[in-house]
Amino acid sequence: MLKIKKILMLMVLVPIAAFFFAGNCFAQEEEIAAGPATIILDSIAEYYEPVNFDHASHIEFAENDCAKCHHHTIGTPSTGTGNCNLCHKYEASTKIVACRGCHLSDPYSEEGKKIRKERGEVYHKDKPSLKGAYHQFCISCHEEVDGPYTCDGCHPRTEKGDKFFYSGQYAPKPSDNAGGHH
Amino acid sequence: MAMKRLIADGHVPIASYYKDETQTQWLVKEKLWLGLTPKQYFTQFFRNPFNWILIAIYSVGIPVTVGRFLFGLGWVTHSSYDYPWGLFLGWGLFVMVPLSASGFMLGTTVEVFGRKDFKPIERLALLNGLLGYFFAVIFLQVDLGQPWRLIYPMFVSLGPAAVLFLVAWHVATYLSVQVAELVPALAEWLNWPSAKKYIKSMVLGLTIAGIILSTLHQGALGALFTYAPGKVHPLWYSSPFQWFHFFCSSIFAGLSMLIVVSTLCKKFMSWRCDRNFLDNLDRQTLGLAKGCALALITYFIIKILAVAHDNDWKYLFTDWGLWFTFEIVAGTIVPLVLYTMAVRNQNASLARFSAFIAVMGIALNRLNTALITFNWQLYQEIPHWRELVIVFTVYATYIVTYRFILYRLPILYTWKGDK
Amino acid sequence: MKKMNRRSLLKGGLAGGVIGALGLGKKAEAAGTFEGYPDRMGVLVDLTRCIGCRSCEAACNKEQKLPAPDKPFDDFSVFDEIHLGQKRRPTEKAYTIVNRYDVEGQDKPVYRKIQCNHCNEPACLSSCFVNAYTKTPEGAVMYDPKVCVGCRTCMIACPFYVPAYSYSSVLNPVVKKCIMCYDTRLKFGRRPACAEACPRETLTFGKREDLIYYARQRIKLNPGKYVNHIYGEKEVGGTSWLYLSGVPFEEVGFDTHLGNQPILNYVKEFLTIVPMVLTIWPALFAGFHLLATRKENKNKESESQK
Repeated sequence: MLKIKKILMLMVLVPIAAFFFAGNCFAQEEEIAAGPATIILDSIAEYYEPVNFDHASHIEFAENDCAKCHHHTIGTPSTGTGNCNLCHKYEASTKIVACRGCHLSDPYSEEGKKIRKERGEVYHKDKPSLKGAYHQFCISCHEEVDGPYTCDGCHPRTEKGDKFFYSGQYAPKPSDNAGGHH
Repeated sequence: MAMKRLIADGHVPIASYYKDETQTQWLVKEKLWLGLTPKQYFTQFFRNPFNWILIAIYSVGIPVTVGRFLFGLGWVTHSSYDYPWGLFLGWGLFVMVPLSASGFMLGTTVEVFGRKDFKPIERLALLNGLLGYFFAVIFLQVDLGQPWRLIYPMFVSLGPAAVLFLVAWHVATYLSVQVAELVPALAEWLNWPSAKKYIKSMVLGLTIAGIILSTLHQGALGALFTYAPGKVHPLWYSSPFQWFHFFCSSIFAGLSMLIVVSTLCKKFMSWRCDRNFLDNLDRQTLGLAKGCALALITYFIIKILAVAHDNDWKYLFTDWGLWFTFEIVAGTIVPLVLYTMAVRNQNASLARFSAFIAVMGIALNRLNTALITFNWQLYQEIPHWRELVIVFTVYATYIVTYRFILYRLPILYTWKGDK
Repeated sequence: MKKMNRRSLLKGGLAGGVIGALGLGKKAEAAGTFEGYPDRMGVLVDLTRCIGCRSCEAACNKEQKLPAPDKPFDDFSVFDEIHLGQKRRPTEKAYTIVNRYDVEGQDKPVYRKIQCNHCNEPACLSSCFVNAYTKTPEGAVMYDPKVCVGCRTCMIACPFYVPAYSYSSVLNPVVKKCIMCYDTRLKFGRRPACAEACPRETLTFGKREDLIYYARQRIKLNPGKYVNHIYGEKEVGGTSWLYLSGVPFEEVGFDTHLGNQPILNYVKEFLTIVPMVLTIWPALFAGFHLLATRKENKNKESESQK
């Protein structure tokens, strides 16, 4: 229950924050270098510590081209897979900037299902969840630019995670390896 | 051999209700001891070199077999997920069952087609069938993960759409049919004429039931492999022909096995055979050989037909194709030619030789389908040595049981005073 | 009547009691084609997304309460394991595993997750003589260990080499395979544990028909990224788990020669002869008997007339 509450709270808080930053971004369109300096990504941190995402440096990495990451929304013409403007040019949804604004942290939860229903999503049902979006987007880029692309590279594993992976202090003892099957 | 010496010393094997001189009836206990004193019995037992081989097999085999039930299948097999069926079924079910088709073949010949000239060997054929099936079930019990649930498909949870369901029901029913068919022999031995009379009244029904059940489950054993179209090599696989291949080959397999067993009886157990059996054996062997030759030519044709039907010619020129050709030549064409020559020249010894080859050929075919060409695209499973030991042990028990019954019941001889 | 499916048809066939038991029930099998449960769920596996992190394996282990693995789930040396020339496969201790493939012309390795594909017409189900398998309306292929005898025909029949067997157990060896987390999740409309754990959403959970639509869309919207084929859409009659790949499927260990027929179709050729043998044989052989023994009977008759 606690976890759901946490997610719920994030769901309310994040779009508000996102909207604020979005407005900020558009207001200073010429200067671009805006947005939060760091974002803490912890919506479902369980097996891993939250990520302290250094947004400021990533703006530098992206050479001030927001659209490199914020596909669909910021930047003209919008890049990535989207032909968003074909339908959404005059809609509020194009103003959403934060990842969370579109990518739900748990689209499979009751809450997630409700939001999807309210949005009446027809063509974007196959949109990845927040976690999916991060990992698809970040890792592909990190692999290219030689950024960290292993799990621990971005978020150290928690003790619970070690237990989950049978790693570290929870690693199976060599004596357990007996018995081969084929 | 040991018995021969006793008989030379004046011992007469039991073949009637009464002890000769006194007209007192044999007790069942005495019949079990073959009319010998325990001392005489054990002397002949230990004089027989074959028993020493058996003792050797059992001294290793019994502990291993017990171990299978104490430590699980994982202890005696390689626990393969890719080869879920090993030698227990590959040999115990898929080879034993066709070699036991003799029961229904001879039953049909004598009772349905009225060929009374095959009567002297009919009981041996029935016993060969019964024991083969019974031990196939024993092998199955060794192989099943939870043998105590054997009756589940019958009464607890039924899956009637499965081929194995049919096999289970038919083998169970056919076992009872074969027991019934052999009741007369037991009834004579136990002096229990009413049972014999009762069975005689329904022998035709039993025999026809035997034909139906045999046709279907012999075929079903083949059809079991149609579940694995990608796993069995195409040359050994044919969805429309598989059941027919298995059924048709079981005909000459059963008959050839009968020739082999009768040959062994004649050679090692002649003291137990009466003149009726021995004098008619060559003639009957040639008769069986004729049946084998006919079944073999049919089998050969449908094997080639299946290759043509599925258009598998391209596989013939691979390594597997060579192996297939070897199986067909050594296991089908050679016995076919030898049987034909034997029938033509009235040469019973040649028929016996070709029967031996045909039995090997059918064993090779079944092992090829179940184990050797199975997973031909993966790797070859070599059975664990303990698996092999258990197969030898159970098969040895089959031979011991076979011999135990042949020594006693009127299978190879006619019971006297029972007309 | 529309709801009548193969299962209930079979049960109807069983009502025939002994006849059904003797094999006539099989007739029902050939009757009617079952299109599959309309709302069955599935998972779309997009191999272009998988990075081989093995989180799905860890999640499966936890959810299904499986024994500890031989190596930690973050030990990637398992990808180099070759046993008897084969890469890893699902076992009694792991219902799902990921294998790595180094495909020529690809700068990155391709990973492939293996688990039960939850066929529309499962071969394991149709080969089971104690009815231990069930295809639920949600799409999962379930296994009932309480009735399993341990004949392992399902393992022979499975074209994907999925079911494993707990050979090591003495008193209760059973088949071990993925059940799509039916008991704990699918039944309640939730994703299987592996799909939830997957960081890159390589595993997309949804209605099977939606997944096929997504897969088509992904192929269409990303020209050149995918091979134009959805593995599992038609293979062996279709499976609930579907695969998209950026490289030809045979290069990442898929059997592309399975054909689109359900395995059961290969067995039908035999099943159709069963009722014929059962009905025709008795009359045929009784006839043979009468013909063969006519002379004998005549002789007897004339003897008795004398």
